Amino acid sequence: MRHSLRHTFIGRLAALGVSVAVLWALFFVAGPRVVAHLPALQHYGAVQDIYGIRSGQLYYTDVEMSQQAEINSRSTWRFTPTGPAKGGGPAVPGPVVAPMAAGPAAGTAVPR
Amino acid sequence: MATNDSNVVVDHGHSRLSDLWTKEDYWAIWLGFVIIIAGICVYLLNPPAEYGEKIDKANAVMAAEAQRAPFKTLAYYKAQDDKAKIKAMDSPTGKAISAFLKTPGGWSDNPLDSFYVSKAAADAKAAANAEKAVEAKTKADAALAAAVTAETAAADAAFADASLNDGAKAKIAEWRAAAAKAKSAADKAKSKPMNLLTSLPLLMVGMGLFFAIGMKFMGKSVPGFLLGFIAVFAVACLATMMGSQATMKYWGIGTEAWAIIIGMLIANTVGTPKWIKPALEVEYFIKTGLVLLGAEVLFDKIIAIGIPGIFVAWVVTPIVLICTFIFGQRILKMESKTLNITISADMSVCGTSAAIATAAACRAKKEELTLSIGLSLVFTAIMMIAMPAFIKAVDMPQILGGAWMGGTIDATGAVAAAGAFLGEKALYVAATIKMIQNVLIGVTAFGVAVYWCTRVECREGHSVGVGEIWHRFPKFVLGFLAASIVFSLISGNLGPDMGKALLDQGVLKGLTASARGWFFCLAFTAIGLATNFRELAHYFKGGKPLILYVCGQSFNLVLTLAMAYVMFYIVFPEITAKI
Repeated sequence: MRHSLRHTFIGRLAALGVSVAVLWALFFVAGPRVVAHLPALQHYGAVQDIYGIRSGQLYYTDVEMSQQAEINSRSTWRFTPTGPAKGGGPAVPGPVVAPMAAGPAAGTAVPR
Repeated sequence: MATNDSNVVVDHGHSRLSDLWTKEDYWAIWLGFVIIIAGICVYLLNPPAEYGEKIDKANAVMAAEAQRAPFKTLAYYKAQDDKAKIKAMDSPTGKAISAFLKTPGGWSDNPLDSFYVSKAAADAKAAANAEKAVEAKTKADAALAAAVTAETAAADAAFADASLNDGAKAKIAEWRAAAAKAKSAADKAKSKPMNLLTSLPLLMVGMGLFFAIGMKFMGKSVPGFLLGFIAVFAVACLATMMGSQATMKYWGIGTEAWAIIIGMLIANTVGTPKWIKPALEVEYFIKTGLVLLGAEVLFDKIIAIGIPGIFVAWVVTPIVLICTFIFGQRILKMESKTLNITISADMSVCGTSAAIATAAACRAKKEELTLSIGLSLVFTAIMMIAMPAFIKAVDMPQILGGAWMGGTIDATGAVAAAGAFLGEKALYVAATIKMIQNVLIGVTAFGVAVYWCTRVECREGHSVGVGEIWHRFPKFVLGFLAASIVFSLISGNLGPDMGKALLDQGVLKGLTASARGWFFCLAFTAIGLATNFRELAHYFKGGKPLILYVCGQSFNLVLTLAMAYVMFYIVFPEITAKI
């Protein structure tokens, strides 16, 4: 009986329905409740939204922030801030230039 | 020893000229290079003249600011951000290509939002987010004003007062964080209508015909492939939709994982219909995707964060990979060498992408690849939450924490997210270390392919000649390497800034990476649709894969932390202080 049920189309369809229901309950019922009870997870999701990151992204070219990170790291090596030379001439305090735009070129695609 | 299993590429031990148009390895190369050459023609042949001027101007400002102050000033960051905004893919042609290859978008409650957003719905969403955007901008402006004041105070003291310098650095960091929030809020307030219901069918036809060319020459049924491809593409779209759901970011489950899950659900419940099976060309899709991935393996990236990055990503990783493989063979005595090396590469290099490349290079079975990726997903989900929490709890410095996570967490997205959890510095270091590690995929795939041809797939006591190695060598790896070498040379020739604008933000992000994403998604969908739960359970026998992963990752955690500490805090502390 069990054997035949598993092999009927209705039985297989029911198995698919149950599997989908389990996944739905896991990700859309239990998941949000877990997130609601864990502030660390909420922060984890919030920073992903801010920087346009998706934790499931595979490769560095998929993660827009990797580009920004590389530019920042390279800049540190190429243009290492050293400041006025010590023991040299007097430092020249230049003008402070405030950026016009609201900020860094963080992730462009911001997932919801 | 070559095997006759249907899941494995069969090695007949001889090569013919006709292999060039009858074997999928070569077709993966031809198709991959068609896309690569198209990308070069679109993005590299006629770069806008103003790119060079903008880059030179930004570099001049950064050089001057580096001489003026002992920390990254506001003007320094502005110039750096201006450089980051130069993207070849923002051209009209680039935008058209991106729109054609666009995957289903993010959604929260209604799955249809992933495919279609009306103007009214977009306007309503923009209006709902407008207030938050204004609020975030106000905070960013206030943070900027505070940063300007602090930097001015430091400048007035000729940057000789350490406390004023530290104060300015702190205020600038606060402004960076506030500005990132403001940009995110502003993007949400610019919600636009979207309709993929017309582009996706066109993409399906285009990709189906693209792969059908190879199917025709390989002597396979083109109508059967095209018919089955409709279903495979539809499941791939469903997987992309699920991977884009808003809550998936908490669990690290992306498109590829959903492709396997949905495919396996169908295959193991209602069963994969026979008419779909001619389109389950797992290796054909994977190998073509891997040739495109080769273009993203740019060797000049390894110096992005200097010598510390090379030691953390390129010294520790191979040690862990080789030790884990030996541990699996000698201590755990794993039956399947292909499963052993796939898990070792997956865990030590960079998760799923390394697993795909290694599995294809050593001809692992699809169940072995699925098992490796499943292990990686589970441990990534744990580590991407646990590691930043631990780092914060023990008050570990951001740079050290970022380097540690970058070298150990598998998936690149999870690394960036875990870094962002700690702060911008941790994010930058973690993402850069991971990027350098990503480049190891090329070396790993080539090394594994050679090792398998010369050591694993030969009888004991018999030496293997060059001709035999050539016969056995997975040829698509040559396409993968060729793409990597060509693009590394182009990138090196263009220089880091122009290379980023034209290659990273042009050919790669504007075409090849998007196509590669689709091909991998199709491959994982095909894997899921062809995988039987019982066969998968067989490979998990005795829990050895789990033990291998846990032991290997533990070793990786210890070694990476030690190396990161030595490199960033003992050998190069002066650079670490400036990051």
